[in-house]
Amino acid sequence: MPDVYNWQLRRSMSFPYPEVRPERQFAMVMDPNKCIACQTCTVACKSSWTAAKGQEYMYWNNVETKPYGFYPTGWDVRSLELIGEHSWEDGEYRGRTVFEAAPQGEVVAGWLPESEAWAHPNLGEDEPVGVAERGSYIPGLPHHAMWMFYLQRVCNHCTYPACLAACPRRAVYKREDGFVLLDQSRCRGYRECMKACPYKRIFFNNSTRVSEKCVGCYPMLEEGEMNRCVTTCIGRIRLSGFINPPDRADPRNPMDYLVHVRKAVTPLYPQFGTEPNVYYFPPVHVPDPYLVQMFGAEAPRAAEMYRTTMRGEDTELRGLLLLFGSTDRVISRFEVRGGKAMGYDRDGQLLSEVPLQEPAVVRSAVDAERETFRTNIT
Amino acid sequence: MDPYSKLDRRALLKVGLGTAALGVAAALPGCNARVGEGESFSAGRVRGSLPSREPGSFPWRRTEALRVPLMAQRMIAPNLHEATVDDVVVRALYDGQQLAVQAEWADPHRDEAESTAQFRDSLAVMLPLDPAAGVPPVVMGAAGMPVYILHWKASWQVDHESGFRDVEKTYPRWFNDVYPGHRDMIAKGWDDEATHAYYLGRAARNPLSERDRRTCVEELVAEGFGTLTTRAQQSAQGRGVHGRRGWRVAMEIPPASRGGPRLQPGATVPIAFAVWEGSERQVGGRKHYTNWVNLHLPGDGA
Repeated sequence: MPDVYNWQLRRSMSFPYPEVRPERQFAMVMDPNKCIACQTCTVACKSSWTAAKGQEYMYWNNVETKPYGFYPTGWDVRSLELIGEHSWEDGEYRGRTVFEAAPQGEVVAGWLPESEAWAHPNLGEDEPVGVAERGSYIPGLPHHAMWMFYLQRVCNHCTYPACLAACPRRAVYKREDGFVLLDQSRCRGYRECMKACPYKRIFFNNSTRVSEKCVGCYPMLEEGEMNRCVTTCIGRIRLSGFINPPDRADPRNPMDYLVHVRKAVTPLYPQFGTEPNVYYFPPVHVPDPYLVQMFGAEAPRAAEMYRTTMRGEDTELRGLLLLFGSTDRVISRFEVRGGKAMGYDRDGQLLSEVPLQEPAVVRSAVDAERETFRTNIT
Repeated sequence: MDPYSKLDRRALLKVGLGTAALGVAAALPGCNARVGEGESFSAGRVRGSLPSREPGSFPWRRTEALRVPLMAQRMIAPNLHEATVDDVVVRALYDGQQLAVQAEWADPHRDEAESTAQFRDSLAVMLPLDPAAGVPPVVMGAAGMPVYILHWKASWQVDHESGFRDVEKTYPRWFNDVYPGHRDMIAKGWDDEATHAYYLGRAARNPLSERDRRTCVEELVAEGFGTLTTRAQQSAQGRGVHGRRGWRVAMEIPPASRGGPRLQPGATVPIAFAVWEGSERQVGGRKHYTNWVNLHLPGDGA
């Protein structure tokens, strides 16, 4: 196998194909700290892409409660088991990727979930870690004794996709804009891709008998619009666009700024080695060991940065966060100045302008003119 | 202990086991002809129609049979790590223009469903597309040395004989409120363009996604692993029967005039077989295969 460089692991790794990075790479950023698991994204995706017969339990987008929620059942713990023990030293990954852990005669260390594993997308919903003792209330900030968070999941459109590596038909391919797609005419339903993807983001259509996957709403991105799951998010927790490799990072590109410049967001299970392109603000109330396991070595530092930002001490990052959900169009460039954050498209056209501080009026508790008290009812 | 008497006992044991094996073979319905071993066998001559949809019928029973060992595919990833079927017993019939083959192998499970984690039983028969041009590598041919493949699928047979096995048949407790455009689908049919918007495999004309099966056998060509391609012309027929011991499947190989390989009376052609056991999740490269064996076709005067 040729060696390719995986910047998320800060080392080279083996992959069946040579390193070829696309011209542009589709990417998405999620903020689990703001998600309320309303599943509007899930429904938007489902009604757009997977509402037909054979796709009943197919959710290209899902939101699950962590650590006890899984779709399919046990997806991440099973994949972690396959790569075995691992650690991080000075940001470098010390362990095996899914490619390096592949047994003789396999391209990827993978497993195929049973049919039933897909039947419980809400498994473990709202289930916290820990037990509420009598009289206890959020003790031990910033890490709570009891914790859970919502994890938003779509296909990671990986730089080194395990699904693509495992398909003997080469039916899975990566486009010049980074989307990983599955050729519906070439697929023969072998399910090697389903078995290989450590995130379990490939699905079998029980009616057409071939595999399907998240297409990243590429027809919308081609028109400069963000994904359905992004634009329908009522919590404004998502942003999508295109990311550059670290050596070509553009500090005005929101994706590059968050991922490479500020390192405020981290990939999901980078240790799998696929270089996933969906990034997360690590949930701030989760213990560090779990953050490291799920989001890599940089996650605790990124969580601390988020806390700083929320205290209002990081104007630029806060400004960019305020641009989330402010437009349906892809923001290619942003700037924060004069108390405002502004997002622009590829042509430099202003898409959105939001104030860092919304205008507020403080009224006195007593209305002297009417000689009455005001009741705050909102 | 006298070493010779030990050898004698071993020899006797072998003879005994061999006799028992023949007895088991004879006990299979329709397995009357002796099953030979080796690397070649002859097709029986048939006058009249080939019994390609009647596996185990009289013409098959009276023709020569060959037991061919199956090997687990481990040349290219993904591998079949362990073989679960030892061998396949093959027969052939020829009417001077067209060839039919029958294969039987042990498989206690009848796997006809295809769903998220269910895999079908399958059989493949492979011949060089042009046997006169030499013997292609047994690994599904090579560039410039195409092979012709017939692929029988247990799931397609169910579709063909009992109607398309859709979600409600695979999952009997299935329930769904409503599908978008479903009324249109029922009114206009599954082949309507509007319907295809929701069924991508069908929109892409993937033969695996077809609802209206006319056969349980797919005709393909290949020039090496990963190059398997469904032929535009599909006319092969076949049928499988599952019994207590396993599958018996017969298939007819269309003549060259209908896109099949060029077969001449009296010629000897290489032929190979592959078997998949669905209950073991065998699919694609995870298969059992045989080496090429020689098939003698009867001459015009036979």
